[in-house]
Amino acid sequence: MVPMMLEIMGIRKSFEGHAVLEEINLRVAEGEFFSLLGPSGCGKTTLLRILAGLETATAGEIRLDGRRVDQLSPQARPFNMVFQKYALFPHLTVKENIAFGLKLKKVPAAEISKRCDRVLGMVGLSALASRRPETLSGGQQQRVAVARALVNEPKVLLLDEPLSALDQKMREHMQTELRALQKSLGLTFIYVTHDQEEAMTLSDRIGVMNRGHLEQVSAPREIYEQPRTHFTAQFVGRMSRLRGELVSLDGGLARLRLDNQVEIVGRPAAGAAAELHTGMRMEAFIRPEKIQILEEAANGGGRNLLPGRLSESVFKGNQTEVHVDVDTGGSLLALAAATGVPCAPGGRLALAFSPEDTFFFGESEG
Amino acid sequence: MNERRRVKAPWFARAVLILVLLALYGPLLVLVAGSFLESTATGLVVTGRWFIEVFADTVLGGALLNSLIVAFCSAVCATVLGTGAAIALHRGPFPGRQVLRGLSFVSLALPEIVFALALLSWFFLLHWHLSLVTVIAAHITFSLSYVILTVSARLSTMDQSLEDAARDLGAGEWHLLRRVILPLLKPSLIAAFLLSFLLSFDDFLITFFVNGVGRDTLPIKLYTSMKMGLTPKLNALATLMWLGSALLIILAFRSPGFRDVLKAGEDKPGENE
Repeated sequence: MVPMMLEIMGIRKSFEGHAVLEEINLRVAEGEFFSLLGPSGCGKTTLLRILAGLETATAGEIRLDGRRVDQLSPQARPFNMVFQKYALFPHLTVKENIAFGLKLKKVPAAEISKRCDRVLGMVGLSALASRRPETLSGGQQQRVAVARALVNEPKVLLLDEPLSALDQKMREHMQTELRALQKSLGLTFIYVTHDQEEAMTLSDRIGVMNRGHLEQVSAPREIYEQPRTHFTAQFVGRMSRLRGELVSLDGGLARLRLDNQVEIVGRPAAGAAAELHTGMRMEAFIRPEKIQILEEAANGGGRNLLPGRLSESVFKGNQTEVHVDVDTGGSLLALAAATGVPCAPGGRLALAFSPEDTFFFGESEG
Repeated sequence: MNERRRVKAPWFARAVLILVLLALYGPLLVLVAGSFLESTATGLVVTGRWFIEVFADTVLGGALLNSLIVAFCSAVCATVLGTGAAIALHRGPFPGRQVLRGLSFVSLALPEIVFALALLSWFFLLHWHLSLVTVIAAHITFSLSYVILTVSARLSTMDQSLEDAARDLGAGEWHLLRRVILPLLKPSLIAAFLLSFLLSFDDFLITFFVNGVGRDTLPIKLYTSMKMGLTPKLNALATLMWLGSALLIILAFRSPGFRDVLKAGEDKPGENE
């Protein structure tokens, strides 16, 4: 097992009696790119600020390489942060901004200059060292903010939605750059974002957060393909949904009876088996790209098969979104290759999806 | 012609405007004219003699020096104290913060004569001998509200994450203040200083109450001389005072720190989630 460098143990935080974080437990390995993903207000930024020492946890411990760091002042922690709006000092030049931390640590001037020049080179801003931050573009300011944190050689770099103020194109560019930088330095990143694509692209692992707790901590592919909670399933990526009643449980699979007695087979939420009982209301989630569009009379071949009527198809260039009103009630979204829509709106067809790709979650969850 | 054409104001609006301008600048015009004119047997002639007399007058020079000392000392003290108070009020939250904030603006609302009486009673109670020191103390007191207002406005528009960033990079309270907060406040510190200086330099009423015997400030000197008769020399002195004040006002209003006061209240600092 990879040795865990950063351990977050039972961290809680409440503001004026209102719980913002409830019992966060998390271990991050050295050199890992770890993202905290969640909607705004889920507590991800608060957790990051607790790590940085800018907020104090109500309870819990933070350990770095086995030593407690949560009682240290922000200055004394080997963590540095990149802020959402960069937070560059407007009265200082780019180089002075970067030198800020080193100067406070009383590093000799010659070494400060050398180290600043090195990180400036690393982020490709050597030519702009004597400029003021406000004369730089958003992407350049972002690089200065990263350089200002990196020059202190932190053990962990904390990034709070660092790309959210950039436009789409710049954001994608900076994602690549950040990832490359992280890999080449072998540095541990804790990256807060509400952008799931960003989290998927960048991370080794993602912690999905909702209402102050961690819903699921997994690699991006697992988060997407094996969501463990109702919240993760509906928050990450797109899902087609159906409602029904649990009729039987058989090993890893379960049967759900939809509203007009049609039954589908799927996988109940991992880890929730103990709470499952027949007769309970559940929701089925299927990824649109896992749904195959067939002729109405086709054979599903052991998969779940739901006939329905095509209500709308939306051309999206590389693919077409097909909305189908299934006979059991509800509307499902499926994806077809641009040329692959079998009939016009109003036409009959059938949707097939395998039990492996069908996830059942209790309706009340999340 | 790029400028958008506007409908001309009706004649009565223009007439009112002319009346307003006349009311505003008529007296000033008389004052300035009076300082340049001399009546001789042949009629009125333009002269610079009164100004020369003003500059030659050592008593007036002494009063000017007193005024400058008072204005400088009180402006420096008020700026330092007011800035400290504004930072404390901004940092919060602590109990009574809102009440304190409200109270700190007291001199803006208090009638000046009431303030003057209050200060006089206060110095009497403290057994302070009335002198330029009491004048300075009084001027500091009434300037504080303006300083707090100016500095608070700037603080409220300052990005909170700058402080976070400084802490994260290793700054304790002292370095935070010296390397981040004060440099960022600089424009408003300048504005606050100029404003306090001006208020002090201009002040007659409060100074009149709390000043001791012997060392008069320029406005007091002007008043006492006036009782002996309104001479062109006094006109010249007043003209010079007006020009000096106007220069300071322009400097203060043009400083970016003052713009923050005008902008304050429009945008609240962003909250983190």
